[in-house]
Amino acid sequence: AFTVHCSQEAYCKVLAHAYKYTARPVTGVLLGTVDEAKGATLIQDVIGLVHNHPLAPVMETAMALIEQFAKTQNLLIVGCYHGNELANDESISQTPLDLHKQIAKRHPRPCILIIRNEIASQANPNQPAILCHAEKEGKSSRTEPVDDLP
Amino acid sequence: ALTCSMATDIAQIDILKAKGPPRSFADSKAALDLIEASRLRDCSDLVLLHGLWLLKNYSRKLDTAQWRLFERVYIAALDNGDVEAAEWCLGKLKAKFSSRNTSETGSVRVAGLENMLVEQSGDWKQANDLYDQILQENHTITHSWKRRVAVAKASGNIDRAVDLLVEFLEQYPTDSSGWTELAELYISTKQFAFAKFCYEELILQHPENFLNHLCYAELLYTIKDYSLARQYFAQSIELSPGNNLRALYGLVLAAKNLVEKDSRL
Repeated sequence: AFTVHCSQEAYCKVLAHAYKYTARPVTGVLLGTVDEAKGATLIQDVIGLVHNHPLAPVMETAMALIEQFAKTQNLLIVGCYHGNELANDESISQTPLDLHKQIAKRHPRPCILIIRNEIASQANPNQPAILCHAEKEGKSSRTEPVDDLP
Repeated sequence: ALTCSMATDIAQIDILKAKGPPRSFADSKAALDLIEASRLRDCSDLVLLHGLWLLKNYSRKLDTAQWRLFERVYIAALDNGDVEAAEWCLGKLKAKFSSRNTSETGSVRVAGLENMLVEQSGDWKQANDLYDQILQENHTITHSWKRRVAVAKASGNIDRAVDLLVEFLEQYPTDSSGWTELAELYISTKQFAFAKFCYEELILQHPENFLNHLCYAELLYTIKDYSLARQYFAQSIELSPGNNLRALYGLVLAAKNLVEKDSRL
């Protein structure tokens, strides 16, 4: 088993993307580091991609640019995030699935963060507004946001 | 379409957002006129802020212009989830014009607005039936046509949304926003051939709009027609006022794929 940790900055950026485009689906890429020995992934940063149903050219360009950028920051692409258009929809739709497949070709064990719209809509939620789907057969577990790890 | 003037509008609206709460009639009025003229959708928070302030403090000075403003602020309030403000605006509109939902001689337009409040509550069945009612009486109310599609989409029934939208477009084939929405619905369900048709309609009707060519090119690229995609990316670049980064990247990618295809032969 391995755990996924998410930095506050990454978490805030994911939600900021959702808050900016409340009526649109939002998708982005997760950057971070993987500690194989401890079996832990740390999501340090995110890059927002689109707020629609993207087509091939945009995604190919984005992935090419992000791969380059990640190298300069000594980070890996560790997964993607997605927020669905409809308020009560927490399913993994086609866009994050396709993106996940793309990422999995070159990076080990990417995860998918799904934004929980209804929790994100609350003024003072008492739980994280994201769900993390790890690689093993869509098993999902909640991530606890932790402060920047050393 | 995003034009040069729209870029300046966006800059001006950013300045407005930074200015803070409304203070003068002239400034707020100018702000609202700017937003209406530029047709930018995501300024509903500004419309609500300035519009509501004007309506509450200057309704006599606004005179007959206040009714259109009530409608705009009502919709902006719904966009921002401010049900209280929405209900206040709706109350004023119903007092002045009376709604078709409650009175035989009432306004259909106000009835349509009232139904949007039902949408806000999430009662999709009720909202759909109310729009059905309006359309049964008067088949030409485009607002109700479109809201019915929105209700289908919001309740997760994409197939029904597509069917309703196709029916609408058969009667109103020049409605660009309808074709754009239909294309998006098709793309979201990976029905690329049908989406292609929608963009072709848009290009036929508005060949000067670089966005239509751009979206069409991206779709062609996605279904691997690199040669045609390259042409439409190029056309989009020619039509756009500059800085069309998406089309430039698309052009490079399409050309790259064409070269690779050739070199494999």
